[in-house]
Amino acid sequence: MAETSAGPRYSERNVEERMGLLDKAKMHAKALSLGMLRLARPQRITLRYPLERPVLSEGYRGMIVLNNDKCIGCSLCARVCPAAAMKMFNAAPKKLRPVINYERCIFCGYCVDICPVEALYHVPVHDLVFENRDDMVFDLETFTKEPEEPEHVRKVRVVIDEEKGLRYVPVNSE
Amino acid sequence: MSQQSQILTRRIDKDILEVFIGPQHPGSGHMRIILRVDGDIIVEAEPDIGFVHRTMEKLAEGREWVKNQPLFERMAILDAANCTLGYIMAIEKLLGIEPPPRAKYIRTILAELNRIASHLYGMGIFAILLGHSTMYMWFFGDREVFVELAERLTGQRLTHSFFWPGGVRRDLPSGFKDELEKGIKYFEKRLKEYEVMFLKNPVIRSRLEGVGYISRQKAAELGIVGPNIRASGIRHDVRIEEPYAAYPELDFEVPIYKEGDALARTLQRVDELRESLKILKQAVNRIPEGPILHEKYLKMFTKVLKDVLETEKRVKLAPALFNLRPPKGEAYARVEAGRGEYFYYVVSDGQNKPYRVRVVSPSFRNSIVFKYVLPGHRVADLPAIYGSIDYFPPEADR
Amino acid sequence: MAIVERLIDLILWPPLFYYIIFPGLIFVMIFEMFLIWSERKIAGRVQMRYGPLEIAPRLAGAPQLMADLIRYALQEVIIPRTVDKLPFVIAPIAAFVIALMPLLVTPFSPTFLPVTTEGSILIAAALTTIPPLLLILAGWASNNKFSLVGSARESFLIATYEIIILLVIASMSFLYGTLDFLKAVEAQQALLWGIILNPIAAITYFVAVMMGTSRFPFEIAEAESEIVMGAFTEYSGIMFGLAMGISYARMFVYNIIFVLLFLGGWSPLGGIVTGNYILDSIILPGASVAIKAVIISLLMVFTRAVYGRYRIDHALKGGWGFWFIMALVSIGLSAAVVYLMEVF
Ligand code: SF4
Ligand code: SF4
Repeated sequence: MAETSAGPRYSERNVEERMGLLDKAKMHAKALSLGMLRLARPQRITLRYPLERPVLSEGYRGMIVLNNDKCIGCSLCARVCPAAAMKMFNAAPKKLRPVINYERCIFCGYCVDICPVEALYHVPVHDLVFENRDDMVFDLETFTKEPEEPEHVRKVRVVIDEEKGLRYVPVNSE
Repeated sequence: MSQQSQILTRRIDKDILEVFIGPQHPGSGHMRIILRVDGDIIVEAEPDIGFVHRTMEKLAEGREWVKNQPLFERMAILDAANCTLGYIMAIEKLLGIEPPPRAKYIRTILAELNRIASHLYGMGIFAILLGHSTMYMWFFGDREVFVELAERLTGQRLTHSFFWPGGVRRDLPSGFKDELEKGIKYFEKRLKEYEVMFLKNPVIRSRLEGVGYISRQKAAELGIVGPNIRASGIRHDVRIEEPYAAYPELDFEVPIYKEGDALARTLQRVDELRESLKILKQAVNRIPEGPILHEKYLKMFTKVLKDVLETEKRVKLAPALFNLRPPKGEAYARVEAGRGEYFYYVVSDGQNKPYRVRVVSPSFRNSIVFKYVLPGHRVADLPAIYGSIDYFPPEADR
Repeated sequence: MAIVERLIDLILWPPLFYYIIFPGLIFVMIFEMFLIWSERKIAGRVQMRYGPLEIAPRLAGAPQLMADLIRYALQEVIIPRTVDKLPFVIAPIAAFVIALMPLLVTPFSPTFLPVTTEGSILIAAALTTIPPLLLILAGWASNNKFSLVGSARESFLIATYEIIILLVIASMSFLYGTLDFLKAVEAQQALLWGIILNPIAAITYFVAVMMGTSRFPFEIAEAESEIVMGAFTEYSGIMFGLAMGISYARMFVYNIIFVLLFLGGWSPLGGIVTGNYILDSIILPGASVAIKAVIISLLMVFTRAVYGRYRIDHALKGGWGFWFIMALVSIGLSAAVVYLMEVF
């Protein structure tokens, strides 16, 4: 790479001339043959989502779990929450604990980042189904348990590929 | 005639049909364009915005400084990094701090990933408005690569909330450079296919050539921003005019087209994609080592916080950052986002919440274009113009 | 047993069999479902995705179209209060029925045709021009601005593509010296396929049909991002399904004509003689005509994956400025070929 950095600058460019009849015919042919090529050799990046699930990247800001033993009840997480999803309540006299409302949570991860004792952490799950809205308000018991993914899904790892863009490599679980 | 009926009725010339495009129209987005058409020719157009207004500026006054980041992100969720960077930079100006170089580079990388994703999104919508479903899928499919890269860096696909005043929230993950380079190689290949399928496709060409012409003068008068004004031949890019992040240290070109029509705007965007790839390549190669948060805050870190930073490379939110009380004063910051210039003006009265935050978003500035450019065109040109302006209603309405 | 035999007789009674089963209603329905499915599949393959897949992935999502059909059939048909009811209801139904009418005179084998006339090409060409008028009626009756615009666009397009199609058909009947499909096919069997004799006519016809049946890039009359669904904006339920089907039905009919005029009709399989009447006179020639028509139709739907849509004035300019001239040239070419044949 050239070491002499020229820095950012403007560069004037021009739109090409209008195409003549022959050029048009050529570009029609090119576009059609590219379409045909893709038809013959499809290059798919569809992830068949509910059946296949991606392994989320390391550090993905997924659902949040509370480590009850570590928590010191400082309420910082509830204060920082921009969506007011986290609330403190008295788990026992003189023992404040946070609970979360996933109806509001926007997964910004502020609460995890502000906790002074690392009592909150993300788990790589971001999609759970709730039967009603009340279930989305977690109590201390559900909030301290790591949510589980359904068993029968195929897990795939997302790999960035030079040829295909994204490739999904199955994770051998069985 | 009573006052009220004068307000409610409007005389329309004979033979003029009033057509309401939107807000529930497959080609309008969350806005409405009121067209008066004479046959197939538009004689008058009125952009009617505000359908997704969320009082963001007012909401921002009731929240602590850092809490506004996830809020402003929701203006243009597909361009989240660029549209919050300005806010964070304005806070930094108030505080009188500069992020360390490594943080600047990481910001640049994320901003460019977002720019690519945002351009691809805009062009995808553009393609489907022109009826080109394949390019719609291709643009969106390839955007997935960059969204995935951004997810690896920040932990979220779109709502990154990635900046702290004085730094960034995470360091580059291991192996990021390789992945980014693979993605860039892939995308360079795809750009050639776009050329055949979209940019030089005679059908698309005939839809774009000479359509939606904005003269240099008009562009300046209307005060439009971003790729749109650059396609009209005006040299205006905040990355050059008022450099921020790591841009002044990188080598790239900002394309300028003189034609000012829909085709020029499209080519402009594609050229900017190429330049963004260049920036990304340089940025990952030249990124310096060092801290990713300003030392003033690093000093305040407790042991737990320091441990996390060292082992997980994750900057935790020190209470000092959360309880930020910038000194009294005002500051502004400008950022070149995918659709143009974001302008933030913040006022602090020394409290832990902003006194005032003013946002001027690029789509808001661009929305006036419809009023002046549409008349004289055919109804069928509306999608071509709408798409080529890359207008994003939630960004305009805030 | 007698009743059953009677019933079978009735079904096999050529006019009924012809109009209801093959190549009539039922076959066209199956053809349409296949075509829409393959259109979505083709587009999906080109577009980095699968297309319909959720219902029966083993069959590549083919039952999806059945599901769609059932949904359309069971959905409520909403007739807005402001529409002109009679034409609103009649237009798509009549358009669909009339779109299939040309099949009455298009032969699928030398012996398999319900109406034998000397002027079958003329009748078929005349009948194909009626459905678009009903589409205009549908848009007019809908009393909706988008429908009106759609109708107006359609009416502009009709003038263009109908003239081109009629000119090309005229040039081909001039070439074969007949107005009868049977004789035209015989002439091709004796000589060469029409597409080789007059390739310009074939290409022009192909493009004009794409224009006429609103294939991309000529999907102008129902451009979704501009005028929602064109003339059919106000339709819902089964009426909408029917309206969607009209353009496919018309494409099928046009392509049958294409096969008969340019691709040698029942050429390869029609010549086989097995001794079985049904096999010889219906299935083999019918299959060869139908398969060719399907291939041509697939080519037409494939363009969806490559093009956007033209603006109406581009399409008209292309139609009058280029393809109309090509149609005239094709007549000249036909004359030249006729002259050459007489010389040798
Ligand atoms: S992730 Fe964000 S929104 Fe969700 S509970 Fe934590 S702070 Fe609140
Ligand atoms: S911030 Fe951490 S320690 Fe404090 S209440 Fe929340 S979870 Fe408990």
